[in-house]
Amino acid sequence: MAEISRRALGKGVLGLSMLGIVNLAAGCTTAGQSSTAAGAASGSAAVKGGTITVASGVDPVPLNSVKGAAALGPQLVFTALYDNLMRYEADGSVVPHLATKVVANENNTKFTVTLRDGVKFTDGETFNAQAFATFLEAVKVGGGPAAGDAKPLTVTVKDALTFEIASEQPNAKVPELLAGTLGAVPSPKQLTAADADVAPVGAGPYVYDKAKSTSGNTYTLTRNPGHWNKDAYPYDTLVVKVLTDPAARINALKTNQVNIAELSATQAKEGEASGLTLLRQAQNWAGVNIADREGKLVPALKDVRVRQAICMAFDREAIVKNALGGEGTAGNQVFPKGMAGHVDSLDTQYAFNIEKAKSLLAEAGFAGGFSLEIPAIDGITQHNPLIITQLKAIGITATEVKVPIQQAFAQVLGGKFPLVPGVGVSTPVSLVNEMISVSAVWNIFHTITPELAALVTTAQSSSGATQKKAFEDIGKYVLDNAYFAVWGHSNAIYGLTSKVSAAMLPSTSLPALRTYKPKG
Amino acid sequence: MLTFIAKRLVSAVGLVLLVTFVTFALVFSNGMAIARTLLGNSVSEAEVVAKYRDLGLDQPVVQQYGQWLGAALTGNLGRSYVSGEVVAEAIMTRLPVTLTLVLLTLLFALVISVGLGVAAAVKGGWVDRVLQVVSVVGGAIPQFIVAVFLVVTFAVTWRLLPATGYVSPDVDPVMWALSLVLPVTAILVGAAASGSIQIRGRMLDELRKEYVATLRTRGISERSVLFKHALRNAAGPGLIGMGILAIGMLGGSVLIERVFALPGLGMLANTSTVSGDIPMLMACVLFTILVVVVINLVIDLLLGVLNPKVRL
Repeated sequence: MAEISRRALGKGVLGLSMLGIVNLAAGCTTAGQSSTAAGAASGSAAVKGGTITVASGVDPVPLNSVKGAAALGPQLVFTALYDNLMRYEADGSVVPHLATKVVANENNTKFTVTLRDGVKFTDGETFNAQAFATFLEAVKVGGGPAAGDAKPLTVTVKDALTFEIASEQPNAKVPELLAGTLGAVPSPKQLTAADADVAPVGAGPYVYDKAKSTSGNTYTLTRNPGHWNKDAYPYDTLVVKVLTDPAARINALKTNQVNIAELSATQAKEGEASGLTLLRQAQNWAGVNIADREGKLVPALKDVRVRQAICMAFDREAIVKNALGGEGTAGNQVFPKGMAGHVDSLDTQYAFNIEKAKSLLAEAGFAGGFSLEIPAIDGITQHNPLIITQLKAIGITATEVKVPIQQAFAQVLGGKFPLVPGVGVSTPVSLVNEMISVSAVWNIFHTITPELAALVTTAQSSSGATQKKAFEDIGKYVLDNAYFAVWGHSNAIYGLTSKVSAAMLPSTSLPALRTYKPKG
Repeated sequence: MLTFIAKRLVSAVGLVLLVTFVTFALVFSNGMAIARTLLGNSVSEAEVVAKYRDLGLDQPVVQQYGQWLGAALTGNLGRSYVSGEVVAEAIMTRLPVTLTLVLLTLLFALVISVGLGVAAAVKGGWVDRVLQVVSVVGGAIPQFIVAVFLVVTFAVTWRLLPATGYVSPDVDPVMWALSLVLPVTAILVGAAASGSIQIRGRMLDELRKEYVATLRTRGISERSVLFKHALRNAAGPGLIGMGILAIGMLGGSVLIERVFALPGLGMLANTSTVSGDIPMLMACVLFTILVVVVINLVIDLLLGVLNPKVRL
């Protein structure tokens, strides 16, 4: 009897323990942030005054623009929380937003910025020139990705609403910087707060609701009733849901759990068949960055004929159709069609021609081919087989070297590989700054010629037609000298549910927050 | 029993120290790569070096581990390199999600496995054959495929259950339960398949033993023979199997958390690894080990209750 009781007791304790642990586990979230999945099964209606839910493939952290990344997820959240001094327009131009006027001097070394009057941060502090100056200094020492852009800049406060940004070298990128992270100004009080990274205070149209958010999963932002332009934002609540899995994003769209989500090229047809509205925007170029132009790792690459042969080894139309899922535009220029720097007549310069490529290699003294290594970065090797096969077709043996994702930047940017499967940035100024100029990060071996340096200086220090011509000349120069074997420009694709409209902007490849509207 | 528990706890502490140190040594051995990953691709080498030094990644690994361990013992796991969150707070929001997923799956797997395993062992014939076929199929289909099938069928096509997301029970208990149906089922298919075939095998072994025949000849009821004697003796290996299953689920939960966008520990560990968020990653490792240690301890204790020889 005693034994039976003990056993029964044991079973009871086991049962209670299991139930208790499950309840404890489930209830623990009460104390922390509640893990609400906005919409869940009921869906998100996205009506005026309601909630709009956007899926982000990237976790938009930290919420502090001093340390924030330049990825698309943070851009949306930063715009919502902080607004921007400048903004992109549909034609790719950058115009004042929280600023009212930005005037550059004759060589783009000084920009005079006038701010909108009467704007306040959500903590009641006044948005003024000093707030920007304090912010910029914080970015310089904040250790975030924008620090590199901020360091060459100095700010002089002229009056409460006016400041000057100066740099020693001509810097045409300043307006774009003010449309991005450096234009997302937080309250000066946030900068000194211990929880600055998780308690953002800005002057944007929305305010972070920490209680209804779970970092890494769901970010809930509610309307800022004091925003200077609140009527432009029809939704009272903006929820950003982190969905890293593409299948999860399209499923969430189909079931109305989210209203806007990025889709992959392979999901475009499925999205259209499901009745989603698709937005497409040509964005980064895809191809190969022929980085070792001085032949430091592979001497053969110093010969321009060898680099040109590589450019001819790729069938761009077939690549766009098959490797990019038909979602892109074939081309051999770094600047996309319709943007400054693109020249239509150069589109066929390196037509696919294996025989001509082989003869160029032979002319250069490499008829027998040569070998080189390309990185196989964990998770981003999808184009490597294509590169290996096409290079082999002209006699170049490419071998993959495994690179853990954590070491990708260190190894690739450290100059370990002569050829890097490449993607380019979207705007002409950014492209020159990040891929072509001598200090550009993706000019991995920091190669430059006097002629190209002069063109870069002209582009950096001019505006209007002169700058446009300089971009075209740069595009032609890097094309003639085969710095990049470009295949084309892939589309950024966003799916929208039936009740929502939004618009893509050429330079950001992300539907802009201020274009989110209820439909019908 | 107390000595038994004390021995297990001492070995658990050793295990925690060993695994955290090995993890620490592995991930901190390349501080420059961590700094570069954190800053992205548009900063100069000098800025990467500055970040590397700022985070203290230039110090010897043993020294860094000592500092981390000392702080961890006081409950301070630091702040996330990426989000700036207090790591302990972040873990406390993620751990319950993963534990709920694992424990609910385990609970259902236990019930289904015992039910099906015993039925197959006792009934034999077509019941046994069906179970074997179902187990092979259930165990062979990858979790990911099961998850996608469930989402497409029950969320996208029939709109019965949410496709993604987790709702905290204090916000909406019904939605909490609904949000877990598909993720739990996705893991349960494989878990129940392997669990039931294990229980079946153990039960068959027990039922062939002489003491079972003796009990039957003494007129003990078949129900008592099965559930009070044979199942109890078969439960030991079954419990160990369940423990292994639970530990496997902790590691495998990342896939399910990703597909269903659940804010669990698995996804946190995964993103922390990719983004170089070492304080967060170390906390994920620490808490995963602690959960494993607790699961092992509970199983050891249960085995000790079932079979006193284990305590020796």
